[in-house]
Amino acid sequence: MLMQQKNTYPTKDFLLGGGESLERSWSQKTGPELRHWKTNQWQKFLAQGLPSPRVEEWKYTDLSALVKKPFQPAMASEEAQLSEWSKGAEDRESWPEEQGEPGPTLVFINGHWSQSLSDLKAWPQQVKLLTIEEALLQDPSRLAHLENFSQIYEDAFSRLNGAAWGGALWIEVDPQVKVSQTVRILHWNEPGQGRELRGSRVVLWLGEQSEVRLVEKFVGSSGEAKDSDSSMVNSVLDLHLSAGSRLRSLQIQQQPQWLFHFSQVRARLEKDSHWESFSLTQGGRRSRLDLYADLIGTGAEALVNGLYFAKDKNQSDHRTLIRHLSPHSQSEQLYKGVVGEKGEASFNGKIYIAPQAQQVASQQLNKNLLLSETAEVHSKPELEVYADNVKANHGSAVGQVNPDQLFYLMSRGLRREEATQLLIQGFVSDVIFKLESPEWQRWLQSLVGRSV
Amino acid sequence: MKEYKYGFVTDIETDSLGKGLNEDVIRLISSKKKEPEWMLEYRLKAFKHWQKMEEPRWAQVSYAPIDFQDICYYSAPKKQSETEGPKSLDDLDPELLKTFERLGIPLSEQKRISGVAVDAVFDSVSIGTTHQEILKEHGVVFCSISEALQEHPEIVKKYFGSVVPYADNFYAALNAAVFTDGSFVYIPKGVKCPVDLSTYFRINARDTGQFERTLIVAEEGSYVNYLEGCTAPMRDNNQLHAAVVELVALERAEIKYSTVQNWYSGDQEGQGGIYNFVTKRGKCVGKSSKISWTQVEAGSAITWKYPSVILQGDDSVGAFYSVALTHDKMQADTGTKMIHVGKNTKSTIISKGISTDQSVNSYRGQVKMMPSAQGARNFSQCDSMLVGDQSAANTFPYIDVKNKTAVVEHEASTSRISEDQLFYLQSRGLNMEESIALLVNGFCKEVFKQLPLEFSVEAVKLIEMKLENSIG
Repeated sequence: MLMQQKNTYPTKDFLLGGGESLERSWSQKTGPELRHWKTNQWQKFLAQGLPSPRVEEWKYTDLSALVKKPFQPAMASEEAQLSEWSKGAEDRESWPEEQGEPGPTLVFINGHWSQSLSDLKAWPQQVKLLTIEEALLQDPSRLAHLENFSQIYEDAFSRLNGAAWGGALWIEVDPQVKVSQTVRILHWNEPGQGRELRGSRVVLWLGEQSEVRLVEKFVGSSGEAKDSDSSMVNSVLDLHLSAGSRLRSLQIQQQPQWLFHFSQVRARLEKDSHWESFSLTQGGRRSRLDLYADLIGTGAEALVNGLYFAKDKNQSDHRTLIRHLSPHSQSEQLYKGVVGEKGEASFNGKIYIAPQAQQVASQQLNKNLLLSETAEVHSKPELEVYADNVKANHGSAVGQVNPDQLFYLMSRGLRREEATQLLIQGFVSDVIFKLESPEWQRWLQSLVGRSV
Repeated sequence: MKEYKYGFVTDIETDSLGKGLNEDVIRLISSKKKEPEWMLEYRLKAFKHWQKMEEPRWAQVSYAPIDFQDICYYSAPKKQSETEGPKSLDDLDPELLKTFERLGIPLSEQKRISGVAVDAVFDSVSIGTTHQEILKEHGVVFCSISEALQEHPEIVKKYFGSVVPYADNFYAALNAAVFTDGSFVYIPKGVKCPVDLSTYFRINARDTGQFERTLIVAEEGSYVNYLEGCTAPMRDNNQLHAAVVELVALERAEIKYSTVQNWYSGDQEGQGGIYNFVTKRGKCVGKSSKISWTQVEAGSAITWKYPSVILQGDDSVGAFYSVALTHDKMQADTGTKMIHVGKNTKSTIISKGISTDQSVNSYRGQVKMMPSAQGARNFSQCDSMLVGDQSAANTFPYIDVKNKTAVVEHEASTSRISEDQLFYLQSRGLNMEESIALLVNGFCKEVFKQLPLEFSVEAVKLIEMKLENSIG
């Protein structure tokens, strides 16, 4: 008991009005089973508290700012109530080019799904779109699926999300369906009523042999806030890849400075499924992206890449955990970071290979570029291997812009800043080139241009 | 059967304290050693602090809780503990001489190894040090720490606890309270130590813990090569070994510290064996100083240690070379810490882990670049080899960089022994065991070549012996 207190921040005053105000915030379509499940998640969140930096997984991100002042669940708002909506059009409307018709856009406002602002004209056939509440009323057996995602990973943030999500969607791609357009999810944030908790959850269920692409983007109106007033985004993306399915997903985080951003991606990969994931982190005062993948089927493949920028006093923290639970599965990770000013970036990646997971190939590489005297980088690539017939490698490097290369470019007439920019662009490009789609590559290059 | 050939027990009369730990025990140890008052105070302070501490559990090892009251904290061969002590090594109890001879460390005048001065530690006390004359000639002090406390208290007082303070961690605090013996080395300014120095640790008595304390001080421009070896009898209960080693290198000094650790590792079922919970740390205080740790960890039921270097002086250099071999149900969580403080400091980490049978072998290391570490550089390479499908290999590196001019590189790989290479060697007439031994030796070569010749040969033999019968 004593240990537990030291390792956690108590959460009994986390929400204004506690459990009662929480229950009032739930959708009216929340069925009794789901109510029970959500209450349970809340109880667990209360009992376990928030992890302190003494907990290994949270060593580099201190959550004490989250318990300084209670949060209140964000309310759903209509377009008319939004004061900043008109200003953020440029950020909101930037999407990768598409060869055919542009895909549908699902819009979340302050964590709530807004059907009126979403663009569903191009919603593909044979893909179900429901709120999680509706999905469970239709088919109560889905609750077990929801719970199953907790088997991949569960912590204070996923529990809080389960208990207090504002908007929650269930997207199900029927077997054999190959969706040609990209499904876009936009999360828009602007200041609300005080210190708000903005939870959202999306479950994407891919039927056997199906295929889909997904771009998820977090943006918001600019501004700043004190740590004790900052609102918090708490998003969870749950992915289920049935046998033979293929998913390509992109997550862009460009949150404003008045927000803390906590997002989780949990994926389960069945036999011969293939997942290509890419994340770009550019904003957020404190930002954390956790990615958990269980490769449960033979031949499952996960390519997980990421790019992060931290400047000002921003803290960016990435954690990945890839668990190889079956033979012949493969994973590859490449994460690169560029850290300047007083930025602080952490990367903690873990590869776990279970005893039965023979003939597995797994790779991980983390590279960081430090641009200023005051920037900080923590890198912790881990391997936990229990099977002998495997290949697992990881590497990590931290350094500055190569002075010889800088000198060369300057001798060719470039100014120092231009030369540095060019070198940073070169540094980040190879992660972007890992993406299969040239349209996505071009789009990311343009987004990255801003941070460089 | 993998035989542990050092598993015998020496039948010798001992002077031991009863089990248990309290202030009186500490006072008694201190008085038996005729220590100065300040040392006793230090011990008691450490003990008070230790009582407030919690046992650490974060390592990737599992073991039943240790009952610290069920350990005997002092045990010495009878004749040795009497006030006078033997005049020369040849006056030692013949039983003891025989023991060390069986361990391959002859102490008596005629037989001892030339070129290496040996300090032999038996349970809680140092029983003698060879090659004293030549060392004296050069002004090198090499004796037990108890002796040093009486003969050179000013040097000991200056450096004792300066690298590993008693509040550092749970086992360091325990050691500071109850340490019984260990070696003390002092190399004066500009002296290149004429012979290699070596300490041999032997646990003999039942239910004793060994808490040795080693302090090595290398003055400006000096050089020393220090070797350490350890064995223990085969017993079915676990024994605790919680040592503290402190190295201090002043300007341009160089300390090379090598360990071949072969404590009893328990039987195939994981019964018995030594818990090796050791704090080893060096501090490159002066400019351009150098400290290197080389370790071959082949024994102990549980190994839990991180020989570290604090690179404080500008241009100082730290190195860590390690081979850790685990078999049966052994557990090892070992690695290093390189803390870069000074400008242009450099460190190298080469770690090779081999896990066979059902053992767990983890590398855990930290490289930290402080804001002041301009132009610091680190290279780490950690390779693991798995032999058999029930073993586990883990890598947990921590890289913390707070200076943009610092460059840190880390590489790690885990794989099993190559089928092709095995096949090739077997087709050339080697049997399976020989082939594996050859490949493992090749895998560890980078580390072995850091060891002094005699040790290197011993290490190769040790690894071969340990690998017998662990074919996957």
